[in-house]
Amino acid sequence: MTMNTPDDATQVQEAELVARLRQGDRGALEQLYLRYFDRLYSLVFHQVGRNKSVAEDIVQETFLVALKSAVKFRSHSTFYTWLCSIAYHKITDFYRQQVRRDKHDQPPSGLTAVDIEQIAESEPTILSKIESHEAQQVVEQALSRLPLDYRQVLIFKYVEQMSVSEVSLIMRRSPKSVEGLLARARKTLRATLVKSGEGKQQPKSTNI
Amino acid sequence: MDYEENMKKLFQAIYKPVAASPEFKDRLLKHLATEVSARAEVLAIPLWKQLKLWIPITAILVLAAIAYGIWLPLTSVPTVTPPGIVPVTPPATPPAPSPATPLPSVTATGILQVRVTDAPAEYEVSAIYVTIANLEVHQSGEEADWTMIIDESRTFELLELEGVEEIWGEEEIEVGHYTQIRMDVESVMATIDGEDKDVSLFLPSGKLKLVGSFEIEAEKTTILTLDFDADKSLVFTGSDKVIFKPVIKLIITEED
Repeated sequence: MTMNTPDDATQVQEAELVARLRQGDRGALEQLYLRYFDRLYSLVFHQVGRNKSVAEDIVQETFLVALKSAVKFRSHSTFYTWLCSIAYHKITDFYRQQVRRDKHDQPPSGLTAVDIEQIAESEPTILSKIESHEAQQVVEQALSRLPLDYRQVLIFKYVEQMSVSEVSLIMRRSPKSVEGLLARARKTLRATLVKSGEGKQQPKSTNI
Repeated sequence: MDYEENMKKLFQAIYKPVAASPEFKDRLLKHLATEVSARAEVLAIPLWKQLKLWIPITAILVLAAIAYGIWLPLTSVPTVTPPGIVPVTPPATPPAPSPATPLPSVTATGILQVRVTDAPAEYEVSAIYVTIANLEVHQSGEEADWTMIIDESRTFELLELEGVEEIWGEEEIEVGHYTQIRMDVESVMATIDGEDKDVSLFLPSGKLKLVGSFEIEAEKTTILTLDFDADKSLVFTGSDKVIFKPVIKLIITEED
């Protein structure tokens, strides 16, 4: 995964490509599209609960909006960060309009509460545990229960490896607010995992 | 290994890169390229010829004329003089204009005539060719997915189909309740004023989607008729651009 910090050469090149795109240059479109399509698609796909059809819709709308608003692009961020910002708002709209079909409602069977607790509590052992596919599913399930902005900020930070200032551009929040959001998201994730572990330990007949 | 590094690896193990289908990737690029070309065509038109420039200018001029028309009578307050009283001339009048430039009389009036007419049709559309690449249907239920019914590109001339039905294709599919239909529209071309013209597609979701439920029953044929409303589907924009914004009625019938 590449880091997102724009170096001067990349920024100049992107600014030139966007300028050509504004003039209706198809070559510039193709270069920008091929450079970022795969990464954007993957990001959107994960953020919409791996729904291929919705991901395709949002990616298409994102590129169309980017094309129409190319004049608004300012090269103080990378083109990709700008695309993410458009996609972020489209995803937020999607969740506002539709009830998400969460296909992972039930925790996978066969995973004990001990497994879950170990993932949540002992940070140094996370890596050894996530090698298990089932454990990954549990963390993923915990992530899917987080509020949307918590999940999104964690994905931008740890999957896209974006800096706080880039995330602040995408989410239109101050860097301080993004830092606060990140801290709350991490804390809630940990708490959700611990809670999942406790829930698992309770007898099935117990009403919580 | 520190916490941040662990989190990074954890997330990257969960959110592995996923590739889109090559068909979607190609189709979207083609669609965007068409949009860029349309934009380039608009840019090639001199600014003064573009309608989008003249609409705000005209609006401003009209508003200014209306405002001036309202303001004028307010400035000329009529004076009523009772009989027997000599009107007092206001003191300190500004210097009189030179005889060469007489001031227009503030009480002067003109005539504004308002007429209404029905403009003749601006364009004559003699054909609309719609090329559809495929058609899929979606079964209801959580695990259900899209089923390809027709995977063969076909061009229809919509005006020729007025009052006539043409069979596009058929497929044997699983019995059940279906709730959605979607199609990939490859291209739209129209003959306008005797000239073939590419038409931009207005499909925000990329695909043409129709929501309508129907049942597939064992040993029975269900017929889906896509009734295109050609007149409403073609939209002429101010910038001499034609957009295909499909208006379709879905008719579901059952054959005995």
